[in-house]
Amino acid sequence: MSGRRDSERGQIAVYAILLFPLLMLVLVLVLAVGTLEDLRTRIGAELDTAALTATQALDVQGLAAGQPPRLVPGEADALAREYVARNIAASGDLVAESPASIAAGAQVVVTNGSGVDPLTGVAVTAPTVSIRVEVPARVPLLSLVGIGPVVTLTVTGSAAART
Amino acid sequence: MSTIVPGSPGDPRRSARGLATVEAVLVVPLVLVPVLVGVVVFGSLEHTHLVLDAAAAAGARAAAVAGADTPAVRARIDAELTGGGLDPASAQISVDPSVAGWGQPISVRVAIAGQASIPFLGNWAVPMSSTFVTRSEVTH
Repeated sequence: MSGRRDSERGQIAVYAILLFPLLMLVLVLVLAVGTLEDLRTRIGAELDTAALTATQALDVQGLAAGQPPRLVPGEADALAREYVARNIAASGDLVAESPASIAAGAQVVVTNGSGVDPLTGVAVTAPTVSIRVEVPARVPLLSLVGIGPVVTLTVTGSAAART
Repeated sequence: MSTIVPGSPGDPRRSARGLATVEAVLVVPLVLVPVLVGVVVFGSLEHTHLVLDAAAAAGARAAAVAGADTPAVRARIDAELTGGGLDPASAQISVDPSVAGWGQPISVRVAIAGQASIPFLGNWAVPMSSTFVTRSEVTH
């Protein structure tokens, strides 16, 4: 009886030692996922800012002639890409691709008038710019949990011109 | 032949009773508490970063509308920081350029020293910043 009790002594410590790496792994996962979600939120805000900037590409001559507000698609597209690149450049070193390359590969949709935005699926009633980008994010901690250090985030943002 | 009465001082189970509890009390804080503290500290820093992003984005929008570094821009940033539980007095705000003509890029940077507080070990300042760039809508 006493021998059995002696053999059980220290079991909690053994469990704790075995459990420690597992808990550290959970901590690493929490940090990595938190970092990724933080980056996703930030890029979403950047896309909203770029889309809002692109809504400055209003057809001024049309407005002066009394026509309803509409965006000049080519100009809005160029503005959206320019400000996607400018803002992603300010994101820090987690982004694993050049801002210019991400902006060049972005999907930009300019919607004039009513309809459904093909990127967001939302019904729009005003001139709207929507942007979707794929951003490779480098999170070295992910290597510790068996996932590649680079994960691609797909993020969408949009803004409508106030009329 | 002597008989051991269960629960008596001679019962070996009595000497082992509570051993697991004692071990758990000693070991669990060493294993679980650092993980818990790590998650809480990281969450707090993430919160600070998200508030900074929101403040810089709102400030950039206000700067685009004003086309310059105005008190209204700083008030907008301060309001976002306060709303997120941060002290605006501890934040450094920079707007570049301070006056932007129509169509010119204008960037707003908000920086703060986040606090990583670990009980019994101390506090560490973690420098954090956020920058957003937009386009001036004003002709000066």
